[in-house]
Amino acid sequence: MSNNLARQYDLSRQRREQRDNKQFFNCQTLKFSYNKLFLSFFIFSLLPMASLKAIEPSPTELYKNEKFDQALTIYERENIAKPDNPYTLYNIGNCQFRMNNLSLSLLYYTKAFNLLPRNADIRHNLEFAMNQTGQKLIQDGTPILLHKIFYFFALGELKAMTYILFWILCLLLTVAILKKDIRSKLWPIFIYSIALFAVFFIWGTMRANSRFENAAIIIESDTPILSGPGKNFKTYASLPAGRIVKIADIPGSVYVQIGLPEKGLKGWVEKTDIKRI
Amino acid sequence: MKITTIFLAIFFSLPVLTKAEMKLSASVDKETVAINDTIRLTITIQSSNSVKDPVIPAMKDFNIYSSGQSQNISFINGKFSYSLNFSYVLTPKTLGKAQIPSITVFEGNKQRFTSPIDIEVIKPNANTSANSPAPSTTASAGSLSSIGEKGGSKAAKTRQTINETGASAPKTDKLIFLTAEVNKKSAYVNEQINLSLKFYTALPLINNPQYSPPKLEGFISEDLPPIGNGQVAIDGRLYYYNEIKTALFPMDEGVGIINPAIINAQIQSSRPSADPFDSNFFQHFFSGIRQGENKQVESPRLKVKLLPLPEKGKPDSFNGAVGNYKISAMFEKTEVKAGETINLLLTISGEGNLKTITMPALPEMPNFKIYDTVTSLSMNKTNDIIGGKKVFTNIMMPRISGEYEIKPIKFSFFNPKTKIYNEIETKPLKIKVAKNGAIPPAIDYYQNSTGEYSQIKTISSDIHYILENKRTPSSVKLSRKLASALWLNFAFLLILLASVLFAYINGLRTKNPDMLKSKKAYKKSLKEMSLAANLAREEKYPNAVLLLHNSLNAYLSAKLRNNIGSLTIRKVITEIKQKNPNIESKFTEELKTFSDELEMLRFAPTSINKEKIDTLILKYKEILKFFEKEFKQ
Repeated sequence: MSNNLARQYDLSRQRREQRDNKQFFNCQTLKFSYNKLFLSFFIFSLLPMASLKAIEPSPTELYKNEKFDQALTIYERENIAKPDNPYTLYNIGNCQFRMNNLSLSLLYYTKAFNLLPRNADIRHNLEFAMNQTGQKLIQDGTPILLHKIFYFFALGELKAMTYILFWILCLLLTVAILKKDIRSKLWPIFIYSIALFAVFFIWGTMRANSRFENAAIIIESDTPILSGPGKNFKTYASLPAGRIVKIADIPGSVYVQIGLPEKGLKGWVEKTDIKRI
Repeated sequence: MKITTIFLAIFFSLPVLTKAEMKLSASVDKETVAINDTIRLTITIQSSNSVKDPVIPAMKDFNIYSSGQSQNISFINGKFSYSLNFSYVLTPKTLGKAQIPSITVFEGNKQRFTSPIDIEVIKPNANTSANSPAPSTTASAGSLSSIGEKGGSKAAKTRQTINETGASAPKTDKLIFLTAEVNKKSAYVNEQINLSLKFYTALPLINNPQYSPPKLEGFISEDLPPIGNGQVAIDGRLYYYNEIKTALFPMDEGVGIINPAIINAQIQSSRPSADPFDSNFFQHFFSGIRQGENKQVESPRLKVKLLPLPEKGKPDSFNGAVGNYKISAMFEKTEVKAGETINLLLTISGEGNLKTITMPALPEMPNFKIYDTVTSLSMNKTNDIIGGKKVFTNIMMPRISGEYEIKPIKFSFFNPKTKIYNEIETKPLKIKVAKNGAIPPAIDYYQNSTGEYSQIKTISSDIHYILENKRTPSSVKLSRKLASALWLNFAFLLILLASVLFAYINGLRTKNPDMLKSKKAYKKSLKEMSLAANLAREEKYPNAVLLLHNSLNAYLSAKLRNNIGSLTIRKVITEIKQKNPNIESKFTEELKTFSDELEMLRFAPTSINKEKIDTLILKYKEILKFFEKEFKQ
């Protein structure tokens, strides 16, 4: 009897185990199916993106095949995403140049130059575009080496260097105040730091007032310069497209006060006639 | 440095030369001349400005013909010089004293004059005729010499001339006519052709005939001196003739045209049959003042076939030279320092139109910087063949020291006589270049893969290509972040200010430690009270009492800024009263009681318990509160 019971128990256990295993396998299968489904969904959802990426040619290829307008669209998109990249600005300048938009190419070369002035390609193209518009990157009488040194660092880098040196000076002073015994050892470092700080401060100030800072480019040909901010004022000069001007004042929303220091010209132009660098 | 020196030298020497006055001179090869001889007149102009050809005035005593010109430009050792020589051949018209008048040369608006030159024209004799350079003139002189004392033999020569020339003379019945002949019916491009214009007259002329040269189509011309004259019998009539020769050089293949030359002459109508053997005929021929009849004669129009130069066998170095030439080259110095200039003189001499010869290509000289080439030309027209020599002075500068061998310079020409091209070359030149301090860098040269040097040529310029897959430089990113973190400046400034404040406080502390102790005494005592309470909880009563006792002493010492450890409580109270006379005596009494109690408990610790300690602490607190108020006042 007990043997029968034991056999029945074994049988029922086997059945239960088989059922459980079946369920497990079913579950596993189901689970596997879900994973598969999810994976498929994920892959399929990525496919359009991947296919888009595959379809969209690189701007380099487009530029190489002289499809400058299409390359420009991509570079402009990249510029919106990363506005600090001087190479993208340079490439936009190249596209604009190839599309005969000389003033716009000059605008982007200048922007790129302001971010990375020591790059030889950027410098060359800026100089080339400036020459095309009758302007010179290096003014007559200025030694090239001096110009290159002056434009070695970007204004942002000069600012950063000035700040860092200011912080170093503050820390040095703090240590010198608190630790009298090492004050004499800190003295030479302090002198060097203050000299460097002065150099970078003056350099940065000069660069902040240089021709490419707080400047704009005339984008409309024969832009009239008015003697006041309004059409009622007399037009006393006109500027060709591509001319780099300093922005003196922005009094209203329509007119901008600009200046050409080397020509001694100052006046108002319509905001739409210029693009700020 | 040397380049700069050279250009500075040129730059500064040119204005000096510009300001320097033009030098003009006229000279003759002889001052006494036989009537049948010629004089060579040379006008030399030294100027740095452009000058016009000399203006030859009308000469009553001479016939004048251009004999060519030569120029000489040199730049040697920093000195720049330029001179022009104009040569003329003069044939006298009359015997006796004659004069070459002033000749004018214009230099811009300014004009300069040569001095007049006196010439004595004498009858011909054996010596002068022997010295005569021109055979045609000799023939003419022979005819004139027949009227001289020693002219017997010459007269015979004249007759011979008459017979010889008479054989080839044109047949005509005209008394005055003009012929034109070329020595070749066809010629190669740039090959010399001689044009001979002969003016025949059987009549005496009243004055000088006016001659208009022929217009040439397809030629450039060069005068050939001197004029030939003589006499010839044509059809039994004796004619006197004057001959003008011109060398022509075809410019291009095709047909060259020599248009008619014109002579306007005034003939003596009353004496149509002048005796040619009259001793005064020559004088009458040129200088008669009698009334006469104007006569214009023209030469025939001539055509010459101009042949192209053959293509077969044309060397690569051929540059259009036709004739027969030699070439030589030499350095002015064989040793020079690097960075110094040296002249390479290349001379081409021979027969042909030297004016059209250009500088042959120099071999590759990578270690030499080559500046301008200046040219000087001297021409001769011996036997009616144009020739001479042309010297090209190449100014160059060795860049690097060493011993160099300059490869032969090749020059080729077409020889119309042999009808083949000849290629000639100079001998290799050697030069030793010593070291020098300042050597300009060879920036415009590069060495190619084969080791040869080539010059870099800039053809045009363009923008540079796009920059691919470049990320924003980290310096740009970092600097932008740092430059925008203006608040960090204030943070560092605050740290500095804090340190200043801390230093100030620290300074005060070190200056007056008693005052600091006095200020901290109350807080310290409060801490000690809590410590005493803890000790009491731990049943360490004597320690708690001792702590309170010491705390009181320390407090009072700090406040009174005097160590009271050795003083009695009475003396302490006296000092307190001295410091604060208005203090109420009940408080001083309380202090005394508290102090005594502590003293007593110190020495009788058995009677201490926790409550006692707590009471003492409370009492101590009250006393301190009171004294804090009192000491602040």
